[in-house]
Amino acid sequence: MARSVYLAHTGGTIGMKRTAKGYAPEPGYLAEHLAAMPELQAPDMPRLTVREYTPLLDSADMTPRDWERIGRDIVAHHDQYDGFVVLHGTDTMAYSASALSFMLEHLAKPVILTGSQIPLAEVRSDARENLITSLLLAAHYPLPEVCIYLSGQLLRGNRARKVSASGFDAFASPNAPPLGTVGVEIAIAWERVRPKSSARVALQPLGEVSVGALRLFPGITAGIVENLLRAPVRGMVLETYGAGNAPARDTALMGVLEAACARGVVIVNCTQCLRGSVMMSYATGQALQQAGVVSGHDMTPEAALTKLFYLLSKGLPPQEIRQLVQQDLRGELTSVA
Amino acid sequence: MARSVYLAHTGGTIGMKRTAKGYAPKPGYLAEHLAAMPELQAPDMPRLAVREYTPLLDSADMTPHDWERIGRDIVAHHDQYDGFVVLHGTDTMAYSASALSFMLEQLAKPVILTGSQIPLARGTSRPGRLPLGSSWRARSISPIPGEPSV
Repeated sequence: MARSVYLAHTGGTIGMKRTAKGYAPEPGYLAEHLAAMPELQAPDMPRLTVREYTPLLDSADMTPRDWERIGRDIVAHHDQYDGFVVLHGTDTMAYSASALSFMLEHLAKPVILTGSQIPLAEVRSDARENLITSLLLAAHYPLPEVCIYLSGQLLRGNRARKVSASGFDAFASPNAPPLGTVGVEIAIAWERVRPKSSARVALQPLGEVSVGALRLFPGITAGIVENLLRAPVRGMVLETYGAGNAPARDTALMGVLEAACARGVVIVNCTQCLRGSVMMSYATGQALQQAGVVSGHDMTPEAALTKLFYLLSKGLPPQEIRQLVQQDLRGELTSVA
Repeated sequence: MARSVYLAHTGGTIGMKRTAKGYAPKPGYLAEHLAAMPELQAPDMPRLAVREYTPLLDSADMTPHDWERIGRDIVAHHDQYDGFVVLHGTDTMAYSASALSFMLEQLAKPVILTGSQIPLARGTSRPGRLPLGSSWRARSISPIPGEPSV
């Protein structure tokens, strides 16, 4: 029996049209091009349902409400399709993939986010291969995960980061090996794929949670940090140096962090480094721990931020959120046994 | 004639000692270890002036004031030395190197920032010894006037 895939077109470069003002989204444009692609009629290809979102969004404009819309769409069609492909701008794709990985509880079908650096309609586009491979992955591979597929690499969504503004290989998964590589063969590392849950898929909506992110820099002051931590902020990703270090000698700054933690703000320590893990073992890292900041281990800042949105939206007490942040919920962090 | 290098030890993992509260900087500790390194006596090696900063800083604690202190130190000794090596924590090394590249106008000598991921004093610190050794050698073979490099 023919496989079926639900294709959600949210926007992004892949479906854009060249206009006098640069590339811009244009309703109906992608569907026209899909209809003209003979590859999509090949016997291996799934039956396609294309849902174009209104308005089509540049992913730089996306908000948690858009993640929720995508999530609801997937849950509503979860049982009727073999898999899902989400066409999405690459700019915030790692954020959306991370958020969806948390929000889609007990996901049992593949959700593949893909896009391109050059629109599908251009001659020298990377969109064709990204789209075709994503459709095949969603149709034929039982991956119960939110993934990003681009340029030969299938990545766990909540491990991915956009690392190139101009290359076709825009994404990397610095702290976890890819779930699959696509060359002559499609090779899936099945031992790394998460097991399927037997419970029914459900969406955790995000509500009106206020979360922030703060990248330390030499010269940052207690005043700047205090402003960023003001209510209604309830969670903050603190991007620190190296293995999780902060200016511990700045007692005013440490005091501001400690006061925020005492108020119930959940502050998660993630490293500014592309690779590696927070290990609060230096004197400067231990000071953060004493202030009440919890370790983000080797989570990407994107995963940590969206995990905070997710956990805070469940209305759990701060202490419980602090514990869950440090636990592996969706393969987003490497547990330290 | 022997070449000479001014070594500014600002702090960082390279000179740290293991304490109950994790690795921490300790005054005088690095100089002791340098004195015990036979590599530094090799004929290629430059004459060294070691300046240890007080207090030694974990680079996570550095501020623009510290960049200024390093910059003033380099300018004050610019003409007496063939080059400069700044021992520095790796955490904010890219910030300091960037800042110094702008602040040091008309720099004519090499300024090499280096450090290590494991302290020099730990037995397994090959990373700690290699960069230090190769920073000397690289500079004694080819002077690189211009921007500070890491």
